[in-house]
Amino acid sequence: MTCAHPGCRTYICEDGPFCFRHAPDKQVLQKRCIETFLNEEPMVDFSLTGSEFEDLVLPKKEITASNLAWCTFRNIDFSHSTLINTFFDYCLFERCKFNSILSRYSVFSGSKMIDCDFSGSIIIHTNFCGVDTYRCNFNDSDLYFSTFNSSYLRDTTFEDCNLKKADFVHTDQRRVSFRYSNYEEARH
Amino acid sequence: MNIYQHFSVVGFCNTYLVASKTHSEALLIDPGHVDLELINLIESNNYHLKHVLLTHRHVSHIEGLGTLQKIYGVTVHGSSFSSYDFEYESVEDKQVLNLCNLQIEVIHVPGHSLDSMVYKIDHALFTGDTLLCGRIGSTPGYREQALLINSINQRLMNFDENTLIFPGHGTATKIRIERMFNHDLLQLGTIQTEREHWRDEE
Repeated sequence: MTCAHPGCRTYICEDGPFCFRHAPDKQVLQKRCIETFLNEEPMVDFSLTGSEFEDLVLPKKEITASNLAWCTFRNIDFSHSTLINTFFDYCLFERCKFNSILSRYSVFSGSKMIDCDFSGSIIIHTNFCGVDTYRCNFNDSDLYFSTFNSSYLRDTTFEDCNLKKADFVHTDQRRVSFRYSNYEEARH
Repeated sequence: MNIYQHFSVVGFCNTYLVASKTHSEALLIDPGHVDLELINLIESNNYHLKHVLLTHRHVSHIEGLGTLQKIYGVTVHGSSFSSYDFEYESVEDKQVLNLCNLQIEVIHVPGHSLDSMVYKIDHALFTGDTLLCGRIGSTPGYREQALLINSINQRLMNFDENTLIFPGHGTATKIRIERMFNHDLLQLGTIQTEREHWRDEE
């Protein structure tokens, strides 16, 4: 379902006929979303686009089939979370931790990632197409079948990673390290 | 609508289990390989598998059909341009199917193969090998590549930017992402793109 506001085609939030941007009760929606983030129940089929979150530690959260596109995440700890079929496209991630996460069929396309740590994770079938990364770390991760094409990678490390079937075509790389990774098995 | 994605290392094909939220009947798109994990996915959700949609006739997308038909009594739907050695109901461009309480729009997008079909269900496109994440499907020659790019631009790129794309191989994506970052379409196609202004703020 898309937003009832004329001309807006963003998906609606959990409650009501509007997207977050056009919802009359933004603060209530955001508060409810933070509560959902912080409890230990799995987050399934959740939608909230364009919101901002700061200084949260998620408790090994399981997020499935959810839409969190166009959000801003600052200093959020997603460590040990499970992200299945979840959309984080066109987000801003600043100082976020994704250590030891399991990500499958999720989408981070078009996002900007600054000082983010994905190390020790299983990130398979995940879409990073067109991301801009600055000082990010994907070390010791399994990136099987994940796509980074058309991305800008700066001061980012992919050391000791599994890059089989990963896609680095048309990436703009500066100060990027693939040490001890099977870069030759990736598309590039 | 509920969409479950299944991946098998045999053929590296994505298979999608799709069902309406209110009904127990389900359909499968491209059964490339049927294994215990896929059967568990169907059974643990208490779905009654009724239909199979084929995007095109390549082996990696249909190989599991034999096993599937031994277990479930499914009706197979494939392109009218295909010829299979099993019984199937042919579908044509612009046809609308009503299966499992879902309305399915059939879109013919030739190029990767002559019989390539894309299925639009609600806000999701199941593109098979026509449009993948960040690239287009492989083609046997440059004429077919031009045909595929034209077909994608004319038939798929006009959909809403939030339309989800579930390809036959690789990761899920969206129309907006492909408009901005798909190099095959950007280099060779004629679509309008916001990419050139995307990083102006830097």
